[in-house]
Amino acid sequence: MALEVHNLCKTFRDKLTMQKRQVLFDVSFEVQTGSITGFLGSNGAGKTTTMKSLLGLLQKDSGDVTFFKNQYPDFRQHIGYMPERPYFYEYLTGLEFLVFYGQLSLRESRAQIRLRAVQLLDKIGLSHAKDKLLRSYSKGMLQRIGLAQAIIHDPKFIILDEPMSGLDPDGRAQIIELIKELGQKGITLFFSSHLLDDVEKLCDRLVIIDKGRILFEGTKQTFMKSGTSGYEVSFLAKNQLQPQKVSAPDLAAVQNVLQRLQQEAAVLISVHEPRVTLEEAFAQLKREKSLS
Amino acid sequence: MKNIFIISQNTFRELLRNRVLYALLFFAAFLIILMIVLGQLSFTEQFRLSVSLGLASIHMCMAALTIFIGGSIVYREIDKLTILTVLVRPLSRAQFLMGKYIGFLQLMFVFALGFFTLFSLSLSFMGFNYNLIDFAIVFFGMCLEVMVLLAVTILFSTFSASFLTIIFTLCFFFIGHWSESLYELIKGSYDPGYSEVIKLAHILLPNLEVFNWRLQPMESFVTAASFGKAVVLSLLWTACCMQGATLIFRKRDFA
Repeated sequence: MALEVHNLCKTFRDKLTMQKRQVLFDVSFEVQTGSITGFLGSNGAGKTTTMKSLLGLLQKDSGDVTFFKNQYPDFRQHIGYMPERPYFYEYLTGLEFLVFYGQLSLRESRAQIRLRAVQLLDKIGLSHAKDKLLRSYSKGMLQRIGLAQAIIHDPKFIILDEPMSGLDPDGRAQIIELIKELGQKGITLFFSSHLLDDVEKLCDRLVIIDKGRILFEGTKQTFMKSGTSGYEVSFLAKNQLQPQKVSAPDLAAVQNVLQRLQQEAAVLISVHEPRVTLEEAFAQLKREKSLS
Repeated sequence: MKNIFIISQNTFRELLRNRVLYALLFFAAFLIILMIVLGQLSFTEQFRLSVSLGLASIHMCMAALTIFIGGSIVYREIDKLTILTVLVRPLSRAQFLMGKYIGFLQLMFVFALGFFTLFSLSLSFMGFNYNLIDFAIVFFGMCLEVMVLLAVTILFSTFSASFLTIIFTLCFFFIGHWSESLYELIKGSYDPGYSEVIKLAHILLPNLEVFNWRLQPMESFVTAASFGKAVVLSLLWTACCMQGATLIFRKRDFA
């Protein structure tokens, strides 16, 4: 297991009124080694707070966070992180920026780190801008170099907070390709996103949070199945040309429908589980939870 | 140590690429030369006046640069969220603060050397005879004061915004320079309660006048004891402030 989180709680205190506001309630989940796990939730659900608490940027009230089963003296050596808004040192050039982060994480000579940085810049398609100051980079370029700083030291686990936010379709496609490539290398990825289409394309596992509580944790298939409600039977009724559909909640109900269709001499077209998108399943889960 | 060095080098580079700094430096150089030239207006004490005005303006410039630029070096990292990607690396928050401190101090030492050179050249140009060692002692005292001021600035910036840090450090600077005079003034007060408060403040707050050796070129008054005392005090105050800053910074959330 790459990450285990148990009963994580976090409270913020208002600076003026000193009023407490709890934002994470006993958050528990796991991230399997080598998986690409999507962290989903609406705005203000607690995604960024959870990520920052995992990394020690926020002091947690209680709970346990264990990376790599505590097998490394400092887990941060093997972690890459890209925050939500890519604010970086704008007075540095692309190359200086990557060398700086490489030096902080690697025990290699400056020349070796520089070589790594040059290769990485080439890989993310920014070698033409390596000597330009970051203040002249576009949003897409900043997002790419942000991802590069997270992987300069070949981490085993990468945490990305909204890596596709604010990007145009081209920029999104590039980031998706990079994430896919990292996933194929066996690196564990944990990332949050509002863009459910992208999450659907990339992830094999999902963790869903709402109002500071975990709603779902498991594989993408399980989650999307949970959004379906039984089966759909398509048929042509006797002397009709327009196909019709009937829903059946379970297999026994499907059996009944099939018997009825046989009695009515209808023509069966198909019996299938209706496919729902991640977005539909997510909306349904939220509806169910708000009703309960 | 390696991490402190990397952060300090980055801080140094950041400051060197700050265009506002060059405007301030230009203004400082202009002020120093102006003060030395103004000293020429005196009828009999030209050397004394030129040196006093010149050193006073250098002192003010170095203090202002430390307070106004130093006041934002930590806060800017927090405000611009650049700190997020740094603190997830294998380095402690204490190392981060030390790196910022040393990086800025490096820059101030370079400035002090620049001011020292400019000042000496200006005096030579005016045709004055002087002892270079005396001026080196004065500049060393200024550097010790910058060390303390910067540590205080970093302490304040761990829990307050840039503007408040500057206000707090300015207060500290003025109290630090006036506490001795206030103490002398209040010693004869008839109100025992009031004089006790001033006495306590005098003991608790650093006396920045221990680094003021600006009369040295005229009076040669700095002894080995006062020199040693200033060095020890500056190290002690710096260590206390940086320790306090680390304790606060360790508990801080970066939301």
